[in-house]
Amino acid sequence: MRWWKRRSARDFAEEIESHLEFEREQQVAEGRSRDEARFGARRAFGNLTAARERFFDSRRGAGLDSAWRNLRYAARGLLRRRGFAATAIVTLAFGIGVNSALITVLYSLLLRPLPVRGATHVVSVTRAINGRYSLKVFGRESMLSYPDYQRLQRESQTLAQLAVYRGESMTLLSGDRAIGVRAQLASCNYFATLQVAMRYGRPFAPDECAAAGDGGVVVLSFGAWQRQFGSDSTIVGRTVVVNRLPFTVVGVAEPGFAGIDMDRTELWIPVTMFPRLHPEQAGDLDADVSWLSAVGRLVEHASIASARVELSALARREDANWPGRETSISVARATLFPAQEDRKAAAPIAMSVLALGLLVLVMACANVMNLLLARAAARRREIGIRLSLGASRPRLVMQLLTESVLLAALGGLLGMALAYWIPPLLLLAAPVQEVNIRLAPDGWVMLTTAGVALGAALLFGLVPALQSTDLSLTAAMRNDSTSTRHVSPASRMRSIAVGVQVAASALLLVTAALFLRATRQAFAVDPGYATRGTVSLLFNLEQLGYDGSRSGRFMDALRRALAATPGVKSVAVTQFAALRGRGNTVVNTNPAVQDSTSERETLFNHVSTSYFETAGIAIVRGRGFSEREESQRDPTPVVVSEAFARTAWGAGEPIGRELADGTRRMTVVGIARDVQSVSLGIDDGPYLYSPAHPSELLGRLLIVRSDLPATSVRALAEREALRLDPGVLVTSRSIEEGMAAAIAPVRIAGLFATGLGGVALLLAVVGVYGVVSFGVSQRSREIGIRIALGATPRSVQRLVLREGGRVIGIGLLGGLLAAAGAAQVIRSLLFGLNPLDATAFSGAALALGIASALAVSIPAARAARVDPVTTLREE
Amino acid sequence: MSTRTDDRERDSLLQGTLDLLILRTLLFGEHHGQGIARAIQSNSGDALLVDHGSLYPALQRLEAKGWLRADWGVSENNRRARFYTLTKSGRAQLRAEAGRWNRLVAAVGLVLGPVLTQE
Repeated sequence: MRWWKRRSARDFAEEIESHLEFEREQQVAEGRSRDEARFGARRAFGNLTAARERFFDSRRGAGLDSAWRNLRYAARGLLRRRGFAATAIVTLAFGIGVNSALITVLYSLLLRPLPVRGATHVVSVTRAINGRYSLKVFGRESMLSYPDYQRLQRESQTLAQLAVYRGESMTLLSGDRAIGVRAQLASCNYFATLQVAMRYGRPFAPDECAAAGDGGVVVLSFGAWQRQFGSDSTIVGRTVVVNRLPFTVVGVAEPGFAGIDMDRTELWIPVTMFPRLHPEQAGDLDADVSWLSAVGRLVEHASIASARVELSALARREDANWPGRETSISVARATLFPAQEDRKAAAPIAMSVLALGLLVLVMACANVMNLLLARAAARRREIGIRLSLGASRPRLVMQLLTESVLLAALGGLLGMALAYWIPPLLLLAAPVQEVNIRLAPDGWVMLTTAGVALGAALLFGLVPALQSTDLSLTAAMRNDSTSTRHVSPASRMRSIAVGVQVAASALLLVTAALFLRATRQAFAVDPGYATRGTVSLLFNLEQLGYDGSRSGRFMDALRRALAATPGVKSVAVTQFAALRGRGNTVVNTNPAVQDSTSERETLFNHVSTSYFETAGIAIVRGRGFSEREESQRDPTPVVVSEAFARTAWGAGEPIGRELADGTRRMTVVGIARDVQSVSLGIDDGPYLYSPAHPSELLGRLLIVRSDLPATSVRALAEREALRLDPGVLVTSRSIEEGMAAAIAPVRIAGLFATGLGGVALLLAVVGVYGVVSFGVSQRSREIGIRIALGATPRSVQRLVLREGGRVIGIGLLGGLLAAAGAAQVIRSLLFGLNPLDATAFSGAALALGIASALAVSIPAARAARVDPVTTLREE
Repeated sequence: MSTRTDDRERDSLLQGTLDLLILRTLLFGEHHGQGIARAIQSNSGDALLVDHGSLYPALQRLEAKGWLRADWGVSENNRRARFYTLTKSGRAQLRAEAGRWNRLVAAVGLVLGPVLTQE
């Protein structure tokens, strides 16, 4: 049919009318009365409205037209029932908002393209080394070496540019003040690759990276230029001192650019300066060491896959220079965490976080589904009338689904607002505040949220829509809404939904309780060392160009000066402090027999004299080290932990035993108490302490035990250190701060689980209340009859409580069982707390039990007040 | 009482065949809607009962495809009615459809065999 010949509805109606007339006449001719014929004609025709509807639907644009009509109808319906609409929308906003907030965080961390120009062409390049090849790693195994980088950059046709960078802490001299800054060593095409413009001056020139030791130039970030140089516009061309070396400022990068990883970079220095900044590691620049992150820019028409193939082939040719090495290269869209290792580690965390979010969404959907089912029951008569007037079931289902989609869309909009607010809040709880990350949702997140909302609409809307249009018309017309017969599948559905909600909130509440109990437990356990009054201090001696002997003299002088200060009990120098680093090694516990059965893997530490007093670690047998022993070798006197002695020699006498680790012989002089220095709540196991002079501990820690507050110790150490060298920077950390940092991830997880658990509890309580009170209103007639026949209000109340209690009980039991399983998974995060901690489990169960008992008691009380006269008269 | 489900089933059952029957009925001249329904009913020995509700959408559809032409006219007993005529492409369609139908019947008959063909 052409549009200009479109038939009018009137034309169609006339045709139908003429049809009915023919039929009437024919039936009269066949011998029926006029009246019989009139009905007979109508009966033979069937459903007139349906025929008309199909006539309308056959027209062009009918689909769009009816969608618009459905939408207007749904909007009117929601406006009429504002309470219902508001409850459903807020519930959905929570469910959807939590998910879009989580998606925002995960997307920002793992998937968001870098905030640079033409990000679609920017790729990260990592390598994997196979074969029997011993690779030196100085960062991540998947990072590039400088020779690999040079060859790939020179020979690649698919990459327009390839740049490498590596972050490190440096000391900037500003006037006579030393300032710690986050710096990056970068190849000279770094800014060209990322297409970062300069606010002032120029980026690095290619010849500044020509050979090792070249490049006494620096580019400042806009922020550092403002903070450290007072926005001095004449900065370009001036000389600044970084790590005691002079650098000429050649440029200031454009505002907003602070590097492409988590830390905000404040200045960039050519990578070829590495040998001059680290003379003791100078050879690493030309060696095969994994130490540089790489980012490239594809040429206009190259694909990621073609770059991977080409770069792998180039890397395999480079293998010829490193016998035994087999390299493959990975190329991927560049993101905040390019390293394969990080991404692999993040995947399960991301998945479980999303699973928790989905759990909350499912709960929210279950609640809205319950609301809709309850509403559908109230609308049975309306729907029955519309069906008998000729509305088709698919049309009614579409209409009800439109209402669900409208609810989800409004809930989703509100949820997007949460996605803007929640992620920055999470960041506030994080231990590191200064991070280079954008957490706002963008188009991708909005699209995903829309998808989530649509999925949710189908999840909670389909069952009620199908169920409420599947009616026996006669029953619906009789307004038989009080009969329980017809709502039983719906009410079973509702009970299951509520049971699932109770289970999910029990799971979340127990998890939250376990985390929170664990963070308190962490402070309560005795880790085997002093947790108060100990401060560890770190100095930037390497950045000031110190070598071993100079640093030894510095530390030696400092420890004597501090030890002589009133209030200070003892001072020691150490390679690692509690909760601040660790090292593993393998030693032979029976050097007389050279076989692998006497080899033991152990943690180790190199410490100066009085380490055990300072750290507060008890020597249970034998003795610690004297100052003279700091330099004593062959044999080296060592102290081992109780666990070491036990696993190596059982009940045998440990003092005086011999040990060997290939290069040196050792004699055990003391046994130290077992400690928890790696992870709170978990004993370290075998531990080996060797003596060391401060000159052997370049860039290591000074620990101070005192009665003074941590800030005074720091100020004192700073004063003494600056007297020795005015360029020194001190960073300090008390054991308490160390413990707080160790606990931070668990505390964040606990807060996160508490937040989700709170939302879940609220949803479950609303769900329980909704289902039970709906059940009571449905059965008011039955209850009325019971009371009329002599049931006491108390027994009616018990009836309601029992039925609500069964759903809650089953849900609670299921949730606790699931939580017992989940607790085993998070065991390692609990600081030694029993995963089946009775307090956490009973507390969560109690909270949930009380809350849902309250939710049931209100409708139960209402049931008891049912007036049999009123309900029976209603019929 | 005629319920919704019944209506839908009959419609889907007749979807293909109703078109064919309408085209065949119009082969020897024009008819109005009620006449078509009655003709199908009597020509099939009252075996096929056309649901009038489905008839008009079918006519609508065939007209839209250009197989039928419709004009308002006056019947023998002087009533206004919308008369349907087969177009040229409608004739071609009838030939094709009828051929397809016969092949289908023959094929189904072969599958069923003699045993099951009795009433």
